[in-house]
Amino acid sequence: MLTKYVRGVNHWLKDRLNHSVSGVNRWLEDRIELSTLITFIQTQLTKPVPKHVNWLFSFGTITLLFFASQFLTGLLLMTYYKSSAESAYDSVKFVMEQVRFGWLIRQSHAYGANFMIAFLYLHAVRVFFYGGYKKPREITWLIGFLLLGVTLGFGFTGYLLPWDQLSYWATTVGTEVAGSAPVIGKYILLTLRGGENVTGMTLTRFFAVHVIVLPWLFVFLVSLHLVLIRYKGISTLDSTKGPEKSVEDLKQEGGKSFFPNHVMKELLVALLVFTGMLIFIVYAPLPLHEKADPFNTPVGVKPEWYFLPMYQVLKYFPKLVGIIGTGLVILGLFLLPFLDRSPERHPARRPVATTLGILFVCVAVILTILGALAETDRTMFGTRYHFDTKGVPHGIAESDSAAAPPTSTPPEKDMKKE
Amino acid sequence: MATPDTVPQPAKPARPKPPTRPGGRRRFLERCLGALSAAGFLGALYPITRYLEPPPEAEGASRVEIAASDIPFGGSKTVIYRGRPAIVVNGPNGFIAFNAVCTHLGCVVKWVETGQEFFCPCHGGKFDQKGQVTGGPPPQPLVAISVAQSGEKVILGG
Repeated sequence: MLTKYVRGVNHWLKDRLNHSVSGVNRWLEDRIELSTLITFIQTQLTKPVPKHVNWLFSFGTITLLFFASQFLTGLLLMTYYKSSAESAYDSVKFVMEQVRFGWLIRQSHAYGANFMIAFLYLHAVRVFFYGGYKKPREITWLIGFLLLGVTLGFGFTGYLLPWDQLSYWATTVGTEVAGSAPVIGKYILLTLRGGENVTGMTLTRFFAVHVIVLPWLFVFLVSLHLVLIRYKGISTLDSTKGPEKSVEDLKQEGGKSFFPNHVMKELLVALLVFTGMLIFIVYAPLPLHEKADPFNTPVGVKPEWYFLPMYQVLKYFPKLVGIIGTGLVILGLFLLPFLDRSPERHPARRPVATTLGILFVCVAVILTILGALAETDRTMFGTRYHFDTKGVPHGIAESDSAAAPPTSTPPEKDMKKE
Repeated sequence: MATPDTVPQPAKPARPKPPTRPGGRRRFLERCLGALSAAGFLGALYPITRYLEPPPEAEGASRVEIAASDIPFGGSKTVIYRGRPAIVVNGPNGFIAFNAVCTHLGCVVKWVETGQEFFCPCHGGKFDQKGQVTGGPPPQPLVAISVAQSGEKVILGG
């Protein structure tokens, strides 16, 4: 009796639900042609990716996920952040010490920036070695390169916002480097700083650029980038001489559909990477140094690691030569699809480009290491060395370093103390 | 160890592949991954909601001291008490204090010395010296705050 009644109610409910769902569907169909939209999304999701697409092809998505995470944590930080020279530092300290989970949000944002840039670099290197920038995907590369610029801009402007000693002086040095560009250097310097020195004026304009200008630019550029990737598909490893592979060709060659196969790979990498970041946040939190003091430069001021190769290379050349040289290298990378005319995509079939690419990555890594070692004292194989600005080690007696005043401790040591 | 005199065995048939069912191992792993991602995403919501709660410090002092000389006879002063505006009046019956937030729509009431009443500038609500509504839309009286005078000090709460 009761079961019969429950079954009856159940049936009636299901019927009503189906009825109303189809009603909503029809209503939407009449207005936004829902079925066309669904077909479009399904086509996009089931589009096959070429057979050679592997784990390395998840770096772009990871970068995008980090951007999403930065957007969210940035928005949350803005709810407490005060963008003035007087209160910026204290408001960040407040978030980290008083607000519930404030440490987590701030660390996620600070570490997220580093991870985002790291994966963007990896993504660019991956695209280079797989020849993904070649015809007909030159525009995707150009936009990707602009996105790299925007992301580094995020890093540069965001670094100043906590207004601590390192951020203040790294910005002073960074804007000085930008200001030594020929002809327009002085103008750039004054415009970036909003005056002769890094002051509260600099902070407010960096803040505006960081939270309004760059996010909009990023969203615009990344939309174009994604549309182009979906439109042209991921490149195969074939020569650009032949025609582009059609969806049927790719399926025949054993290319799996984008969803769920590739998406699952990306999801797994994303989970691992975000878990990795959480481990860093818990076991090696990034410090907030002392409040910025415009009259007291700490020893060994350096930009963040992602600017280090460019910063270090400037030390080996006269200022102007270094600036113009690095500028030309950057321009060359931007215009890569038009400079590298070889039709081959497979790294083994374009040995010169592959060799140059490996060399470039090695030089960048070496410069980063030299940059990190420069102006620090370290013990290696039982001997104490002082690394000068060019990263050259000089043996020093133990007593020398012990006698050194505490102010000369390298910033790395400060970080460990905190 | 194969011996030459053994009869050649027929090649072992290849182990049959397990049948690929639609709900196979891949599907299972994909579901696990999906569930794990969803859990991670939902897990992030907890710190975010807690983060947006007012931090513990913002509650404000529950005991406020004012110098009696700050409020002339017949005058008033608005101070922050428990994080909200409170109005203290030096009236004919001594010091009185109320939560200054109008019970209608949250504006801050003023003390009108000529009329000896509280007046809300937003929608014309009026309250007498006991906080009772005497005019306008407020649905409830003002909330009184205990006030004590100790020498030169007027103490709210505590």
